Amino acid sequence: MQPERALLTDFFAAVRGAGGKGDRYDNAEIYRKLIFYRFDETLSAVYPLFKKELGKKRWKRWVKAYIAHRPEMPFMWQMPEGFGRFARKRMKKRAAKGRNYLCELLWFEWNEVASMMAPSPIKSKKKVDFSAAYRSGSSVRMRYLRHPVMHGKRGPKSLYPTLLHQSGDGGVVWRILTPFIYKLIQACDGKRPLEEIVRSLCHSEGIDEKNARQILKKELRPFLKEVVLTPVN
Amino acid sequence: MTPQGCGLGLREPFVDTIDRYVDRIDFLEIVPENMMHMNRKEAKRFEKICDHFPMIAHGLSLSLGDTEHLDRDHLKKLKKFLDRYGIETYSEHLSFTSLDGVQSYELLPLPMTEGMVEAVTAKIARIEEILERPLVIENPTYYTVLESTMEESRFIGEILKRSGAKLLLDINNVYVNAFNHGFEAKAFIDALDLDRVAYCHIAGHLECRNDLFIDTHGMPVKEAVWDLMAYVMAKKRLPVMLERDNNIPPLKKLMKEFDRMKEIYDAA
Repeated sequence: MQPERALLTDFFAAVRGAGGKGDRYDNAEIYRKLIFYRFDETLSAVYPLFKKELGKKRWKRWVKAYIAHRPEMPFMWQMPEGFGRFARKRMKKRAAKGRNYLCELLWFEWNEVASMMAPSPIKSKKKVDFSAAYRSGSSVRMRYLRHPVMHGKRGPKSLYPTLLHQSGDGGVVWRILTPFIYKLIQACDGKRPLEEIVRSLCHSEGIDEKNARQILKKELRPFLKEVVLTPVN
Repeated sequence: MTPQGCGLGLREPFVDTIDRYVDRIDFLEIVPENMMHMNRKEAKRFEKICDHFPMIAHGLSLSLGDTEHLDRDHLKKLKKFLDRYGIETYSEHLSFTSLDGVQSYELLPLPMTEGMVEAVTAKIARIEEILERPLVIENPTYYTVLESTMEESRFIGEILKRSGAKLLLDINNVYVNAFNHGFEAKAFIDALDLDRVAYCHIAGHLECRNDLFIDTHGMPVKEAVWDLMAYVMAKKRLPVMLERDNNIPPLKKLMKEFDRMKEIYDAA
């Protein structure tokens, strides 16, 4: 099989643009186009704002460079995650202008998809039980963003504690949280009871625990209903 | 379950309306790669469809030609998925899409040689062992011929004979390859052992240049392909399904093509 393997390797490199022009193969250009369309279609659907930011020519170059690189995600829908990593590295290497904004945009656009593809919430509970331990649902994605990328904007620069999660109808929604709720959801590790987490957070933030519990009883309900937080039995 | 009669490729745009055609469609074909990560809601919807239609699966990512690499993890997940929904018939393309884990997501051609026959046969055996079901292989389109020592029909025939696998005969692919590489489509069909065919695909293609057709699955089936289907069916009445992946029209419109396919099937 050695000659065949060598041939496949050479052909594969040629049609991915990773090994010369590929003119030694008939219709190599057709394969290059077919591969490009596959990547372009999927990536454009996931990263519409990032694509707009790059501009058509640069986008085309980057997609081609990614194809020639090592796209290794076995499922097509996961491939944009690899592209996101590739793009971040590329920007870092070239010290690209506005890199922080673009990196946050990549994170937000990919995680809208990743959250949607996560296994759906299994059980929801409406009442807050402070004695129970909670963990965040599988569709939850959180990050402190510095740019309002959820609006596709660069500014005003601030701190946006952002949460993405699957909604009841299978779509994905984003919310800007209060820093307290953000820290609380982040601290829910499925081990410590909620009351312990609240106590510790109130202590470090200088907040009255009794008041906080009263407010959280109501404030946490939508998070329980939509399985942003799920009790661990 | 081996498919019987006339089927349709199940696609997202008409998942919610396919039930209306339960009396006309004999089976559905799904692409497992698109469904292995369904959320709970989608899974429930799919279970309902499985209650009404016999289901078969058509894979995209086994990369049969990458004979030195086997993604066991993917195969185990695939088996679990097929078992869960009671899907027995599983097919893959006789091509490669990835090499050593690097992906192109495109069906790329194999050199048609004795060495490739042996290596693909061995890979099919390893796949069947993990999936615990026989594999059906599809004749793909190819736009370049990599150094080959045998004709395509012999290449496919040898793999089928040695592996015991059955063939998914894509009639449109035969037509496209015959045009692009200048051979007789009917002679190609004649050279195949139709007893080894599990079922057929029928689809549309793009007439890209005056010397090149591309298998796009994005156009209506061409007259010449319907004729070739009639030729196949006259030789042996085989289960057949309509495959449409791009530019998917409303289901009502697609069903007109389906009816045309069924007419040819019934007339055989």
